[in-house]
Amino acid sequence: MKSLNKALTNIRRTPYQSTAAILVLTITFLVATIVTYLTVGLYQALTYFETRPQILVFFNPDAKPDQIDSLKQQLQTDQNVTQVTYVAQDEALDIYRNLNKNDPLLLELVTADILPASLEVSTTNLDIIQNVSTTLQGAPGVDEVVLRSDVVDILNRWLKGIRTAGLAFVAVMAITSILIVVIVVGMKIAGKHQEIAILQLIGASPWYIQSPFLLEGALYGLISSLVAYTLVTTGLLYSTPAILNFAGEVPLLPNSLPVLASVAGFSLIFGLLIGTLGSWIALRRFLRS
Amino acid sequence: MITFDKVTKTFPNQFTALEDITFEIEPGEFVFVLGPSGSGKTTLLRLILRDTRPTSGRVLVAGQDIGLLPNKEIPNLRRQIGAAFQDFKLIMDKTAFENIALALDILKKTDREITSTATKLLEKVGLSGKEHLFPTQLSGGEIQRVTIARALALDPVLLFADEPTGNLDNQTSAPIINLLSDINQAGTTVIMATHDRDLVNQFSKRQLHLDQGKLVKDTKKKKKAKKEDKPDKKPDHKNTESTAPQTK
Repeated sequence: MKSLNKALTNIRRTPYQSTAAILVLTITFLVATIVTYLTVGLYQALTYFETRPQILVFFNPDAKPDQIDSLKQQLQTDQNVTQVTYVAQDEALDIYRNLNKNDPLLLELVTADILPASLEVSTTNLDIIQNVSTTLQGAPGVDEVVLRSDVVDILNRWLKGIRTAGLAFVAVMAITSILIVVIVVGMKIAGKHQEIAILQLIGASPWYIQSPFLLEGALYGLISSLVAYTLVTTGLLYSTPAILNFAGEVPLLPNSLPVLASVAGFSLIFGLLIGTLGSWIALRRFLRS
Repeated sequence: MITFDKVTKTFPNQFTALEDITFEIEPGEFVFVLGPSGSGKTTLLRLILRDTRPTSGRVLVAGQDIGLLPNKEIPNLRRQIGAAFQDFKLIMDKTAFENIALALDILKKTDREITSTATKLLEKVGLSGKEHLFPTQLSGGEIQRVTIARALALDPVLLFADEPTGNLDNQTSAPIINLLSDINQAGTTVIMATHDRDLVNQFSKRQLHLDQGKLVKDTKKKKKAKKEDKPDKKPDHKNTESTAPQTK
């Protein structure tokens, strides 16, 4: 407790250095939190699309029921196909109505006759989609085959890109932040070198001398990560309606309580680590000299 | 209590601060270490505090060779030795009270114990009412008293005062030595380093004379030699020199 008080006093007595350290660390954690939320959101979207049917087979309006049944049975016997669902014209109309319930004009213009019946096909993995679709393309009664693997591919690429670029950026920012903490805490150690020497001579243990500096770094990390988390999460919650409107039924929004709590925990631990590591390096560097 | 066994200290610049020093100080003794500037008095203190190691020989504190002490044990050693430094080594942005409280805080005393002990110590060294003054607001004699009070806060078995009267006039010096004598009377071993021969001669205490890093005179040995010459002479129990056991 006394070490914590000393750390708080150290922060208070050098407001400019402390503010600079907290601001730089806050930028790091802002980026880290945004990247985390983006990754989680895209991952949720990816999972959503991966669990949806990846092939949609639309039939001609004049396709005969036995042609449809035959194709359905053929697909069900394929080992690479996990699920086949038939969507009749009436069901297609229901789905359409549900999706456009807020737009009466669109509802008025569309009837079951103009919506094709379809088969929704899920496969064991994305690699064999092309083979299955080629088989379906020439089947009797089939008008069009639509693949959703493109969406999954795009999402996958975005996810990988954001994760890689985000991690690289966060790593650079983290190193910068650690160096800032090393410099700020190091300056404070250097400013107190006489006091430290006296403390050593009158029998202070290394922990007694070092703990306020370690805690100071940890506090920089904790305060910054908390500020960054609060800012980004508030922004996310504030823009929830807009994101929901944009994403539709795709669960792009990472605002469930477990996700928010996990990101909070991750941010605070990350902050604690960065701050403490910076202080520890400063102590090793400056106390040794 | 303290044993120097053929101790030599040569610094990296090849300056030999102490050369082949051997003496022993018994618990409860009051010893003056006398010598001009540069004779090795401060090096003696630094060796006792394990602030530096001897180049050769051994320094024993309470029977333990402190040269062999692992680094993690050094704080424990220093908590047993109260040191009043020549350059005071007070923290200038802390008040007299806070400087003393710091030593007590190191001993993990509670806030109540710290307040009570620091107040008593300030009273003991005659600084009641000046506890909230910073070192820059105190006179030389008062600053020296704060350093002694801080050393006493550790409740040490040994108090080493390095030139505590170095910057003081005779009028201010005497109360400091009287204070050290009182501390010694209470059972603490006291070593006082000084260059002031006249001051030391006013007190009948054991003297170790250093000159250019060599121990040129130990009045205890002299007394002992005289005592051996006159075995029938009754020992003077009031004098710490005569009650102390034989040195090497």
